[in-house]
Amino acid sequence: MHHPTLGRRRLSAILALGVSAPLAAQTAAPAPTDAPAATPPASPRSILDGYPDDATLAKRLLAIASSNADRVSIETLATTREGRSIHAMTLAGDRATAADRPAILIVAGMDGAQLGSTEIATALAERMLAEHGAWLDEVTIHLVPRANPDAAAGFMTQPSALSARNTRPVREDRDAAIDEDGPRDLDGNGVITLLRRANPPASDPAQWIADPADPRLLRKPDPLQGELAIYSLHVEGLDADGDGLIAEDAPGGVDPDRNFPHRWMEFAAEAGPWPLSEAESLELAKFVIERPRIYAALVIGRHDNLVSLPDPRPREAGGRIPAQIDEADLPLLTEFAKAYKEATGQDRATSSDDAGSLAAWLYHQRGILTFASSGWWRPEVAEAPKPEVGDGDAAASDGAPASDGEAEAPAVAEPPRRGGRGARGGRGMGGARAARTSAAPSGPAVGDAEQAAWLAYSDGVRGCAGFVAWTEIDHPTLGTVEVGGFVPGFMTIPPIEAVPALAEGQAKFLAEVVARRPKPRVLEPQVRTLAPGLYAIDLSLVNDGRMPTATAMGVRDMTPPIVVRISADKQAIRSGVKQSMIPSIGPGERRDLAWIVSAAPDETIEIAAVGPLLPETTVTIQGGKVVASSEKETGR
Amino acid sequence: MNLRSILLTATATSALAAPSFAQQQIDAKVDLAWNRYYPTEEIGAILERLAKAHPDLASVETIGTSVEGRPIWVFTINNPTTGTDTEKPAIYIDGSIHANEIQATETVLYSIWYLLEAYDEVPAIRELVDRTAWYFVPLVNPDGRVSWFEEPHTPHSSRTGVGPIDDDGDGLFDEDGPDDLDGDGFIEQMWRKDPFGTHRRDPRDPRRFERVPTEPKADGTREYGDWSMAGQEGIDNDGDGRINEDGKGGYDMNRNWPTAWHPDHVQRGAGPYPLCWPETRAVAEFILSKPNIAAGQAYHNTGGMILRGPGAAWREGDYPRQDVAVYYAIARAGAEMLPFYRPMIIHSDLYTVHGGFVNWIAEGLGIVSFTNELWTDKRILQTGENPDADARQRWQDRMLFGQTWSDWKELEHPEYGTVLVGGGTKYSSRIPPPFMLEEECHRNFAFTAFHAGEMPLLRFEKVEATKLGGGLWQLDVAVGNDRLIPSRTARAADKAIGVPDRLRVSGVEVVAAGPMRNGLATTFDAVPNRPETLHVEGGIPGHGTRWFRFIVKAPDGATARIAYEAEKAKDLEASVELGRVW
Repeated sequence: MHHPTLGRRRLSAILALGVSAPLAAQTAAPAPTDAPAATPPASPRSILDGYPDDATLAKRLLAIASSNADRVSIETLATTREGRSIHAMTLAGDRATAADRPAILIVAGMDGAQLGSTEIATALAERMLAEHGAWLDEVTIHLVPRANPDAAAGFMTQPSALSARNTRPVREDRDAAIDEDGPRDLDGNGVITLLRRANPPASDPAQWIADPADPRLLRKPDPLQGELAIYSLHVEGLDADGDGLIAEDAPGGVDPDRNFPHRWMEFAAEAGPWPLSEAESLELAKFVIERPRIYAALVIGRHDNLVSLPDPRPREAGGRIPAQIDEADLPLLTEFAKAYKEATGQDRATSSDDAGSLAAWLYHQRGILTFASSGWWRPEVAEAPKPEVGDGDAAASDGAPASDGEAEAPAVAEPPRRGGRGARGGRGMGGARAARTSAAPSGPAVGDAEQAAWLAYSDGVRGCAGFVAWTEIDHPTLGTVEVGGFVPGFMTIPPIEAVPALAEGQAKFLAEVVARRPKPRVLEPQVRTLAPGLYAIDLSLVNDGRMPTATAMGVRDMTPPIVVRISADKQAIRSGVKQSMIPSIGPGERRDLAWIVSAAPDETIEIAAVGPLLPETTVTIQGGKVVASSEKETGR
Repeated sequence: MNLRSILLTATATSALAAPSFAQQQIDAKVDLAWNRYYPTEEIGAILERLAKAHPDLASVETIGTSVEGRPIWVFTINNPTTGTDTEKPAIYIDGSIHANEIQATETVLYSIWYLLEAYDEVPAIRELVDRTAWYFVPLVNPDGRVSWFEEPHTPHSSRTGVGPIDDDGDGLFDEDGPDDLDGDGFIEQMWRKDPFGTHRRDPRDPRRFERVPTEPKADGTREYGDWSMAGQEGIDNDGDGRINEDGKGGYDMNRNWPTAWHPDHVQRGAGPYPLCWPETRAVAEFILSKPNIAAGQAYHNTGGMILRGPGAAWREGDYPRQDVAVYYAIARAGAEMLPFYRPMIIHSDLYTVHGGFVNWIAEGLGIVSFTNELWTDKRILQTGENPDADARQRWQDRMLFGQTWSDWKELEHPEYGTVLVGGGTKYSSRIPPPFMLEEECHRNFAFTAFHAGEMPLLRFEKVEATKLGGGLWQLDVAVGNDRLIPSRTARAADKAIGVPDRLRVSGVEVVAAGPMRNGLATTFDAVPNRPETLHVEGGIPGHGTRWFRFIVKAPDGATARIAYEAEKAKDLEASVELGRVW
C-alpha cells in the first residue's frame, strides 16, 4: 500500500540509484496525467535498452571466469529446450577447497521479465571479485545469473506477460489443440499489451471503465455510484481457433519457478506435468541437493520475503507444513529483513504467490534460509494521482485465477476466463500470500494507486516508455478496438543505469549474510580422571555465528546434523553414547556431551565431530589429558 | 449384469471360433507353473516367451532401467486387427513396486498368460481383448525383488529400491543393515539371554516364547524369564551403538508420485522429490504417453484389500460422487470375486499415504484405479476370521510341513552375548503358500478383467435428421455408454485433465448446436462458439446416455458425418443422409 510519509525517502533512494539530476528535477513537478510528455513517447521496447542477449551474457560470464581463473569456475547446469546453456558460477578464494566451505546460493533470471535480476546478479559477481575478495576466503558463492534463458530470450524478442515460461508445449485451455492461440502484436510495437473493446456485445461482457483520474487506467465500475462498465479487456491477440477466447493458449510453456515441489499447483498448466519436470528446475534442484553446505540463498526475482515478511500461520494443503515460514525461523528472517532494508533502501516490493517457486522449495524442503527479493522496486516520482476506487483487491478477487498473480500482471497476464467452472489453475492455494500481496495488483486490472504511481513514473522518468497509449486498431474479428496498457516488464526491469547501485545494495546485504553465517565449533574438552583408567570427558559445541546451524525448517527436513563420535570401544563406554547427532545449534547456544570411559593409560581416545558447516574437528585424549586437537576446513 | 451380457455376446459369437467347452483349463502354448514364485532374472525370459508365442497380440518393450540397470518392461496386449492400442480404452496393471511383495509379479504374469492363452479358446476373453488394450509392468522395482530373493530378508523387509540412502543421518549410506547371523538365508528374530528376561520358552512347543507373568508369586517375589526380545537379526556393523539402523535402500517408491507428494518428514520414504527414481520416472512417462488408459490396478501385499484413494483425508474431495459410484460398483464385484477381500479407502481404512501411485493416477490423472493388497491370513482357516498365532502355527506345520520355519539357534552376539536366532522365514507370511498361489492369481486377474470390461464402450444410440425447412435440418445425436466407467471421470472434468470428449459434425454447415438436458428435451443449450465441435467435458457417464442437437444447413440428400472422439473410449463415426432416417 502507498505510504505517503515514506515518499521523501523513496525520492532520495532514486537519487541514490544514480538517476541524473535533470531527471530528478523533472520528477519534482508532477506530469499532468492527462497530457503525457510533449516529446514523442519512448518506444515501449526501450525498457530493454542496454540489456544483453543470451550470447552476450554468456560471453560476459565466461570472461569473468577466465579473468579470475583461480577463484571462479563455471559449469553448464543444464541445456534448455532451445539449446541454451544455464550457467552456474562458483566463486571461492581457493577453488580447491570451494566445496568444503559454507556456501551461499544466488539465483536470478527465473523469469524472462526479470532481466534486471540477471544484471544485478552478474554485477554482484564482478563486485565481489573486485572488492570483496575477503568474503571468498570465508564462504563459497554459487551463482546462477540466468536460470531460465529461453524465457528471457523469448521476452527480449517480444515482451509478453507469459514471461516466465519455457517452451514445453502446454495446453492452457480445455480443447484438444495445444499452443494454438497465442498473443499477437496487433499494433506492431513489438510488445504484447492489452486489448480493450468499448461497448462489446453481450457475449463479451464489459467489466471496466476508464478511471476518471487518469483515463488511461481502467478500473471496475461502482454500480452503487451509477457507474456502468464500458470496456471488455483481453490480451492483445486474435481468436485464432475461433473458440471465443482471445489468446488463451499461447506457445509454451512451463514456468520453472512454479515447477518446484513445495505447494506445487498440480493442475495449473504452467506448473508442469510433475514437480521438477523441467531441465531448468530439475538441474538446479540437483545442484542444490548435491551441496549440503549451502546455508543461505538469495533469489532475485518476482518474489519477496524481505520487504513484506511471510506469515507463519498458514499451512500448506494437508496442514502439516507451514505454507510460508516456520514460526521459529521468523525472528531470524526478521533480522535479515532489517539488514536488507538498511543495505538496499528498498521499502516496497511487488510479490506474487510463491507456490511452486524455487525460493519456497529452497527453504521448505532443503531448510536453506532463503531471501527472496525483487531486486528493484518502483522509485517514488511525485505524488501519484489518487484514484477514487480500486485497491487492487477488488480486481484480484474478480475473475483472475489465483495463479496469475504475476508481478507485472497489470500489464497483461492472462485473459479473463469464461471457461465456466474449474478453469485451470483455480485450485485453492492453501495459505497463499494473498493477504500480503494486496499492493501487487493481480489480474488484468488497471487502476489502483499503485498503478497510477507506475504510470507517473513512466510519464515522469521513463519518457512514457512504460505505458502504451490506447490506440485504435482494426481487429479482424472484433472490429475497432484499442490496444494499449502497461508494457510487460516495465514494472520488473530497472533502467540499466540503475543496476550498479542496485548491485551495491545487494552486496551490502550479502556482506551481512556472509558475516552472520553459522559458526559452530568444538570447545576443548574437559577430561577428569575419576580413578586410574576411568575418565570423565565433557565436550561442548557452540555456535558463534548469528544464524543457527540449521533452520527450524531444516531440522524438520532432516538436513545433515552434526555428528560426534567417540572412538572408544562400546564396552569401554560406561556412560554416554558412541555417536551423537545434533540437528542444530542456535546462535549463542551450546550443546554439551559427556562420557565416562575406561581406557588404559597409554590408550588414545579420539572424538571426532563433523557437520556441513562445522570445521571437521578431532580431539585426541590420552591418559586423562587432551594430547592433540585438529580442525580442518571441511565439514563432511 | 455385465458379466452376463459378456457371456451372452460370447455365446452369440462362439460359432465362429468353435471353441472347446469340454474343459475349463487353458490349452497353453507357453507352459508355466503357477504354484511357484519366479526369481526376477526369469521374468524377462517368460515375457519374451509369451510375446513370441503370441506375436499377433503381444509385445514387450523396455521403458527404462532401474538403479542397478535392470530393464523395466512393459508388456502390451492388443489386437491390431481391431485397432491400435491407443485408440482403445486401456487398463494399466503393475506389480512389485514394493520389493518384498513378490506375488504381485506372478499375479501380473498370470494375467498376461491367461489373456493370451485363453484368447483362442474363451470367447468372453476374446471379446474383451479385441475391444481393449492392456499394459502390464510386472516389476516396477526389479532391483528390490532381486535383493529379496537373493539376500537374507524377512517377509517385511523391505519395500525399498536399492539406491543408497543415509537413513540415520550419520553421513554414511546403507552401512548397518540386518545380518544373517545363523546363515540360513533369512533375517529372523533374535532373543537375548537375560536373567531378568520377560519371556521363557514354551515347554509344550519350544519354538514359541511365552511371556512371564509380571504379577508376584504367592511368596510375594516376582518371577523372571530367561529371554528378552532383541529385535531383528543383526549386529552393529558401523559401531555407532545402534543395530540395523541403516540397511540397503531405505525409501518407498510408492510415496514418490506427484499427487499430494510430501517430503520425508511428513511422508517417510518419499524421496528427495517426486519421480526422482528411474523406475518411477519411467513408469510415469509411459503412463503420460498413453492418454487412453482408463483403468488402473497396482498389486501389493498384504491384507486382502481392494483399495481406492484418497490417501489423505484432505483429498476426499478428489473423488466426486459420480466417480465414487463407479469405484463402489467395481469394488463390490471384486469383493464377490475375492473371498475375504474388503473394499477399503486408503486414508480412512488403512493409513495416510502421500504421493502414492494409485493416488497419482486416480486423483492426478482421473483414471479409475485400485490397489489390491494380495493375500490375507483369513484364507488360512477360510472362516472369515484371522487365525490366532497358535492356529497359524498349527496350520503351517500341517499344511506346509514346517517349510516356513527356521529353528532357533544359539549364537554369541558381539553386542548381546548369547542370543537365539530363528523363527518364521521370509516365506512365512504376506504371501500365499505355493499351492494357493494360482487361485490368488486367477481371482485377482478375473477382478481386473471385470474392471477392464467396464471401461467405456460407446455407441450411437440415435442419429436422426429432421427436416426443418428453409434448407435447415435438425440433427439429433444420442451417445450411450454400455459400461460402468464414464468416458471421462468427473475428476478429469473437474481438473481439466486431458482433453474433453468432442462430438464433431462435418460435411454440412453447422449453424447452431449444443447438448440437450435429456432425451425428451425440446430445446438444447446452444454453445456460443464453434458449434461444429461440441466439447463434452463430462464425457458419457457409465450406463448412461447424453443427447445433442445440431441445426445444420445442407441441401437435401447431403451427408452429414458425425464423429464422437474420446481419449478413453474407442471413437465413433457415423454418417446420415439428410432426408433419410438412420
